[in-house]
Amino acid sequence: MTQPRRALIVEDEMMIALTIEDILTELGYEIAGIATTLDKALQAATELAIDVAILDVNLNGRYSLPVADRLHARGVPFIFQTGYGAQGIDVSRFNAPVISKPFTAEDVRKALLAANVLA
Amino acid sequence: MSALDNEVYRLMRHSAAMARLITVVQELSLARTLPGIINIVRHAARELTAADGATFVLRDGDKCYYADEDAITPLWKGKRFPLQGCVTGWAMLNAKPVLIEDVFNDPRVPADLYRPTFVKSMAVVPIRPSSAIGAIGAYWAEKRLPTADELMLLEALANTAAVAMENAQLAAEQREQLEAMRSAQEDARLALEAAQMGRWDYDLLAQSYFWDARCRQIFGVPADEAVTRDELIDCIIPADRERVAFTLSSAMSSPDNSGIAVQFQIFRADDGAPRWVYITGRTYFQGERCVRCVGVIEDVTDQKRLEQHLRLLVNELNHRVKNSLAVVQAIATQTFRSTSSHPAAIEAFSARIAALAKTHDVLTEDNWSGTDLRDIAALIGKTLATDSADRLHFSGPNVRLAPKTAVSLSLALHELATNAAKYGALSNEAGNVLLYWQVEGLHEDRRLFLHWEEQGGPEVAKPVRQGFGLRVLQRILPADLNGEVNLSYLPTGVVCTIEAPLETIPENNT
Repeated sequence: MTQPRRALIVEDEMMIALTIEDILTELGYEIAGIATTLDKALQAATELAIDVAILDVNLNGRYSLPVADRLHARGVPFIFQTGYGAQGIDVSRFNAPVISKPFTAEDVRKALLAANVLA
Repeated sequence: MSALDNEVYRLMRHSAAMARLITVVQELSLARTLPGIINIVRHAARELTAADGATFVLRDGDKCYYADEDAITPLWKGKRFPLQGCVTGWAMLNAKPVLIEDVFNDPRVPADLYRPTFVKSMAVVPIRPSSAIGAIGAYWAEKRLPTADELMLLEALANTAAVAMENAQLAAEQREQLEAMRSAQEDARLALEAAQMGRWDYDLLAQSYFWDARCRQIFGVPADEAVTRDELIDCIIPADRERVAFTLSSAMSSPDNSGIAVQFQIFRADDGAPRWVYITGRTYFQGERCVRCVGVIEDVTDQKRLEQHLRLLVNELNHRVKNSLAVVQAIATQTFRSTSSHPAAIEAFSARIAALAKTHDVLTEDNWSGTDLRDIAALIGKTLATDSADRLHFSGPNVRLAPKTAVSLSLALHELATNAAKYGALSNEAGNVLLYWQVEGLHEDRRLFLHWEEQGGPEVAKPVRQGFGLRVLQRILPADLNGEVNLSYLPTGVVCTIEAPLETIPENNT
């Protein structure tokens, strides 16, 4: 059996982070870490050995785009999740799947599939 | 000429000179600038003494400055010489006139300076001898001793020049002060204009109101009519009148309370349009008596509308969020009802959503700027049954919480209270819950210590399964508060301690 893929969850709302944790665990991932602030997320995105990240766009009023840049530079695929509607910030330059809150386990599974990192 | 002829000639010359002196004095009395004075004096000095040259010398520190001259051939105009080693300097330093019959035979004369000139004899008088500010010189191309008449005329000229120079100095200072005042007034006017503020001034002694054009525009009163107190009060909406009157009268009644800042609504006098205005100012006292009241008026209608609009938006948003939560609640209840889910799970879910919604309500009251921990604790009491609520005792200082902290803490306390009501100290009729908190440290180092302690309930045991409540307390709360949570299942009851840094959030001053 291969090693389970490792995921980083970046989300300022711990309640939602735990829900994502459940969904990813169900899908066979190992949770490498949960980061609730931009600083912690940047550190985690730099230091942790991860195969994928789920990235909340807005972290307590700060955009997580620097985290996306860092993951992109490392070649780690990631999925954006956002509470914004259509008029939210444009993340299309990353060419990463975007899921919008509230989402279901199936939404997450499809996004992981699109990112080609389904466990 | 006979001696008598000489005397007659002298007298005639003298009276002509006196007449000339009188016109010079008149001219000097009208002169308001130093260059004007110098110009009059240099000509008069030469004319009055029938000299071949005259100089006007100013004292400039330790130098004599030859400011101007009137002479047949140039003397020293524009030059500076040390006071020591110069005849005019000597006259100023010694506060005495100098009469020299032969300039090349007097130790006080620097002969080298005189050799290139026509000067053979001279007279110098200091201006304001007590503390010389200058000197007047008269020079002749022949060797002769200046006469007593000439000296008298020069001294009279010097005295008149001294008075004129002092006047000119005063006039210059006045001009400067006036200019500074004008420029300060202009600066204030421009600042007020830029801020779109109007200036008002109420003179209590004269019972007169000054209202500038902007004030009148704000209140919609004509630009050229006198403003009366009643007219202004009539503009204020009835509901605000008493408050405004109280603010003004208390500022006028005591020097300790001289600041005015009041916001109220008016109906503009000309078109009846409702406007919000903000008046700030202060009162001035002579002893105990208020004599003047000065300030500015600002039309804050746009800010007020924006504020009201924001308030409306927050209320609307809260309404919609709560509606969404209610829909979520309904969907979940109906979804679970049709399955084999436990009714208790549905009930717990509904109660959690309700707790969240109530926390939103509390936060909306303060426009989501934060809320007090006491309000959150009170909320927990309200969700419990009445007899249980009486057994929840909470105490602690006012602590302002950021919205996110308030939500997390509220959900966590809800879980503790629900658990206590089901299994803990509030599940029997004797138990109590103590909830108390304190804050330690100052400023950005403040930490919140919160203590939940159950007493007198049935014996408790550690739960075997990690349910939602435990997750909230052990994972969500520490992460959201960036703090530590300790949960103990003592035989006497559950004890939960929470320690977290307090974010500094501004006090709400509405």
